[in-house]
Amino acid sequence: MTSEPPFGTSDTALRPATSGVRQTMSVLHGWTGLIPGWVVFIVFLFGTLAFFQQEISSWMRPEIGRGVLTQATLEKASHILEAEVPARAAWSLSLPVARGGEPLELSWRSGPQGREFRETLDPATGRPITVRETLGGGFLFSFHYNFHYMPGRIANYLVCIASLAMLLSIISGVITHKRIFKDYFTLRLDKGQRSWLDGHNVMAVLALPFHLMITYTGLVTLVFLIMPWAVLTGFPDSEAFRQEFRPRSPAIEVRSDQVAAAAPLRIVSEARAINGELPRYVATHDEDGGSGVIEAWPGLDRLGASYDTIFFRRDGTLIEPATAAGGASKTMGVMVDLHSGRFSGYLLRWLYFFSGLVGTAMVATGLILWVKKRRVNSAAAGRAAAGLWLAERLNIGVIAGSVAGVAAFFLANRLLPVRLSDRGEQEVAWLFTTWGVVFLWSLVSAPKRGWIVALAFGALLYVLVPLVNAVTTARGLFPSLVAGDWVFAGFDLSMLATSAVLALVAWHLYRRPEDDGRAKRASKAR
Amino acid sequence: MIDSVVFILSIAGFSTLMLSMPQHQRSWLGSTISPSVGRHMRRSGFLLLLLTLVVEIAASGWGEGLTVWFGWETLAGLLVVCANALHGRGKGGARK
Repeated sequence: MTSEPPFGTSDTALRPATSGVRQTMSVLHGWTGLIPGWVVFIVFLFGTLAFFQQEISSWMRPEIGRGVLTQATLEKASHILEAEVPARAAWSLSLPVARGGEPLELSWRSGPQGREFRETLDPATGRPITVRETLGGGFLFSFHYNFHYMPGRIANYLVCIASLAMLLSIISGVITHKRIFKDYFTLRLDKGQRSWLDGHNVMAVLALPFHLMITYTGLVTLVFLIMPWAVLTGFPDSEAFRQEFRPRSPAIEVRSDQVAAAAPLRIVSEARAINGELPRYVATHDEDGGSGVIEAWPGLDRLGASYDTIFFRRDGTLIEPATAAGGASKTMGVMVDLHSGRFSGYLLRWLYFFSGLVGTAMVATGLILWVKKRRVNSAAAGRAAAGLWLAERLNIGVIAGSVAGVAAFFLANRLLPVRLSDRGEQEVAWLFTTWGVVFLWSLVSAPKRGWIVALAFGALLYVLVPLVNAVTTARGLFPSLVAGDWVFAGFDLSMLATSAVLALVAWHLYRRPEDDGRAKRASKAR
Repeated sequence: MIDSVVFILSIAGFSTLMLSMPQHQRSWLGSTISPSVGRHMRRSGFLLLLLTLVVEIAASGWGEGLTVWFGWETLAGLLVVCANALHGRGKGGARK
């Protein structure tokens, strides 16, 4: 590693910073930004998409009609369970959140072998429907911290480390940026590396509160993983802590097998009265008629809402929790709410999404800047570095590859046969295969051509999504616009907008005769 | 409704802040204006942003109001930056 800072500040972009602290911070910013940067990019990209995970799920499950869950549907579900479920058998009721994206799902066990029965109802009409198997927007959400094809725990650790580095990178970046106020509004276009630096700075500074908030609260969601010591000191194991923190079963032993069972509808109403919102999932697991406890999971769609599962006896009477949530637990809950933004209405949701895009673009420009800066230096020194070669390829593979992969995920949802077994996993395979193809392409192509082709490929995939949707479903862009179905129309329009942006960037790169021409001239002039 | 007011006032606030800086005055106004006027503009800009914060919190409460406000500020700020960048684009060497 050279002593030269990977990035200069805006006015020292092309020469080393003079201040000692600032130069140290610049070096720190460069390395804490680069190495975990690719992970951070993925976390930001998929996390940003996850702000719309329910809307994405709605699009990916076109069999579910428009409209929210009605009381009539709930009553129907409750009647089915009352009629079909034998006494003391297990049953469950999965409720869609208010934003939709999921059907109302019932399951129960019946018969001598305890065979499992399932019924899927349209939330608005209550009609039985068959929904294609898909992981939906939930996969994009889960991928942003669990990744895929690896144990979730390891992924969580990687995300933790990357987030810590991101926090370090944000703080060192602010210190490195010495004209933070003077250059607050400065974005010089068509100036090569300086334009990239201006863009990086502007996106970092203008959304700084969001970047800090989302990184910090993201770490809070995984706090027990990175700081387990307090828990391990106070509790024999993490399961004991979990039982105390957010119990999975009631604190007292319950015997209620002799009482008459309450209707599932009543449990739903009671849980709604307690939390001020519909529960997400109501179930009883006891197949042998044991304790007869019914649990209701919280809906989590309200800022500061409770994260605790509510427990009922079989007859529907509430089992009082042993302890109420304390200050620390509530604070953590609010921070997690702030991170996930599940409480937000459409306006705030779009603002979250927009800020997330700015964060994603900031990370991408940072990664690209690192390479651009190094390329100028290595050209000046007349040597090519292996690290630079790799970073350049990783940039294309990760940035353009993941973006293209998401489009393939949506295309797979429409193109794979509806009855395919393991269909959800197949959609995910499309995502990663596409991503992998872009990655391989980046390895064999020259960087500039690699970028252009990868971005154009992404643009093509995104423009195909609304087209394929229009062909394979009756809910294409024009019918949706006419019907005022803003979830479907908004999804298709977002695909077209993404395609346009990717095509514009590819076109812009294609039009530029010499990559980094200005930067090289500036470097020689120094 | 209240959000469009917050958004428009935020754009006005950021524009005022931008025009209080000499390098942007040269680009937009052709010359610099007196430093005392610049200082007044800077104060007015900050006051406008403060006003949007007060309005948003009055409308949506502390928790959600603050969250929404930061979102609007980012959006408004970026719009002003983009306008500034496109304005400066045609001028080439005219800007510092």
